[in-house]
Amino acid sequence: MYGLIEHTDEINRLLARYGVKFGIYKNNVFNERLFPFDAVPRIISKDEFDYLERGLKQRVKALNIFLKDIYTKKQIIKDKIIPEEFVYGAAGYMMECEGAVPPKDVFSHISGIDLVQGNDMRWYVLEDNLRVPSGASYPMIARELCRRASPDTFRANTVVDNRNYGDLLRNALDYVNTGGINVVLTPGRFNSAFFEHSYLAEKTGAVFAMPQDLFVEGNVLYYSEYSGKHQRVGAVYRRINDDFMDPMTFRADSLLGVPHIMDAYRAGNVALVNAPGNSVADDKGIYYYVPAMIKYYLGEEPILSNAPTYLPFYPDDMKYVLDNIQKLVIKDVAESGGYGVVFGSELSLERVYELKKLIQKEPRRFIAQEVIHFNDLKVVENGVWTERKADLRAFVLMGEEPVVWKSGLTRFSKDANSFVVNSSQGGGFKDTWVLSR
Amino acid sequence: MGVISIKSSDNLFWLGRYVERVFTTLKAFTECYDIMIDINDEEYINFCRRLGIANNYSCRQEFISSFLFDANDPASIYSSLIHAYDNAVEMRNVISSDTLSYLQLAVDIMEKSSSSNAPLLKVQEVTDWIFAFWGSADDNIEAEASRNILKFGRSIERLDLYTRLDYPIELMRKEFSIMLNRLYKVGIDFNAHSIERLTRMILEEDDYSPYKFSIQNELSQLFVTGVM
Repeated sequence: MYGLIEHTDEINRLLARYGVKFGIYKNNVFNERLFPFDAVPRIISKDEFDYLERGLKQRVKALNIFLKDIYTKKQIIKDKIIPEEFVYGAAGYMMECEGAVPPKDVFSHISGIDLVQGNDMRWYVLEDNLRVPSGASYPMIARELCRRASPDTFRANTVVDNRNYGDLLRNALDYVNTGGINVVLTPGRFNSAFFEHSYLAEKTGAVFAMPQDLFVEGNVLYYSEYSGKHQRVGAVYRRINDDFMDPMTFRADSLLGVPHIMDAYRAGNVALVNAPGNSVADDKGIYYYVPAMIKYYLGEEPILSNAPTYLPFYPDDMKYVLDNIQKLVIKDVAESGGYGVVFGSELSLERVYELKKLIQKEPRRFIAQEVIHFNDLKVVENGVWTERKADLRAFVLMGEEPVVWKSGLTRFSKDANSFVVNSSQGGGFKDTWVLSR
Repeated sequence: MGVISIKSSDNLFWLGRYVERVFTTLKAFTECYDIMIDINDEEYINFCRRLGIANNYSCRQEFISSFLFDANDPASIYSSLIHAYDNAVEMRNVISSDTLSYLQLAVDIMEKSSSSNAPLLKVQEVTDWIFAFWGSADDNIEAEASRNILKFGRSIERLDLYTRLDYPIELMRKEFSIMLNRLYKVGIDFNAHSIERLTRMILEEDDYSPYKFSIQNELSQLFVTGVM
């Protein structure tokens, strides 16, 4: 592996050459940044991954059933497993999706499940991303370059090849395709994940489309070719948020969407990947109920654990949170990307007081979690070995059965003491090796 | 034929034009730079006039640094390269990551060269990467239509610049013939009247110089993608 690590700078140069960047808006100015790569991989043994794989499949199956349930029968609410205010009060719940069932009942075609490993070596799920999870392209292209940099490393270690993500994604699109071409739909050049959009279009062989390339006629979605011909579209891997996807259904001021695409979707004439309305499952309040969901829908004990979580909505949890706020991490349920996360231990007494009052006033808005003591990962920074907090985004792709990609995006924090690993907050990434034996 | 939209055809066309603009203006700039060493300090004034760009430069040194590297100078080679990159990055899935990477390398070199005290030594690599870009485009762009639109853009830009820079009629005719072949291959509607007029001015006249502006005008009307 040292043969690989000594080439870290060259690999980063090659990543820059291939335009492996992400965009960020600061003071309304768009800038593209490189995503720093650390060549020391996260290594997951076969047995450990087998365990994660079982747990991830179970979790995504349950979440998929949940999404269908809450947009149709709402049995889980009727049976009082989840309080209705947690569903209907979630920012991601879309009333406009009521009754809409996607092709083959697949809501979450690509699920990004964020996990961390504690220093007790147990894995905990930190959050579920079922809206438009991003990040698979980074370890995929990094692996390609790592193999070039140090073939001996990969001859000596039995690492499962992760460069099949494009094939897995294409299979997921083909599975739900209603007849027509597959399209990757990007909002445009200045989206933060534009590199990934274009790269995945290349790797899946799907047509790369901007909103103006698509139109709906007779509840069917078409792609306009420059020659004047129209191609029917059967599946859209859309990287546009629900709110902006169809100005006739969601935000009327959206210039990014395709008018009437929701009509084509409701008519069953096109698959939207992932399904609109999924973000209700990303809600940090709903996250609390996923273990209960697994028991309810699948009749199984959850294989993967949530981080110990408290809902101030419940009086007992409220009391615990108020009594122990300085050892907890408080999260605003509507925020993502590392925003809205507060560590009680870092707050002044005045801020603690204010936060307690806010939690009491808006109990539904917050969750509290025990701080997990991460199993820190080694990184090499300026030639020196050190350690960083890191998470793992695992990707589960849904076809006839869920498939877990044998890799994942390992993100690490910028600073040694920081728990925030999001790229937008300045962190870096690693390849994730899954060993085949 | 690959499936591409009007917007994509526009991106490909302008990608071809901007890459060619970088290539040919860099070549012309190099000649101008040489003249400015010991023949005429103010050759850049001539250069701007021939290219048809505003001479907003106060001196030779300002011209050299701005025309090569200034992102805020719309006529600069760096600006053209960024425009090429912006079009290319939207077409990654058509031109391939490899082809795109050669433009990224050219951008990187331009950015590094701006602080060099011998910038022309460094920017030679820009020309190298552009050659690599075209080789990679030939190899990696699977759909013939996409390849042709890209190269059609290159031909249009080349003809436009050749007229501005007073290139010999033989070179004009050669490039015009290449462009005609490509145009018929592209398989889209084009302005047939413009082709007639261009044929007369370039192939039938002994000297095209009286028609320079007409040629530029007809070239600009030849390929209409419908995207503003």
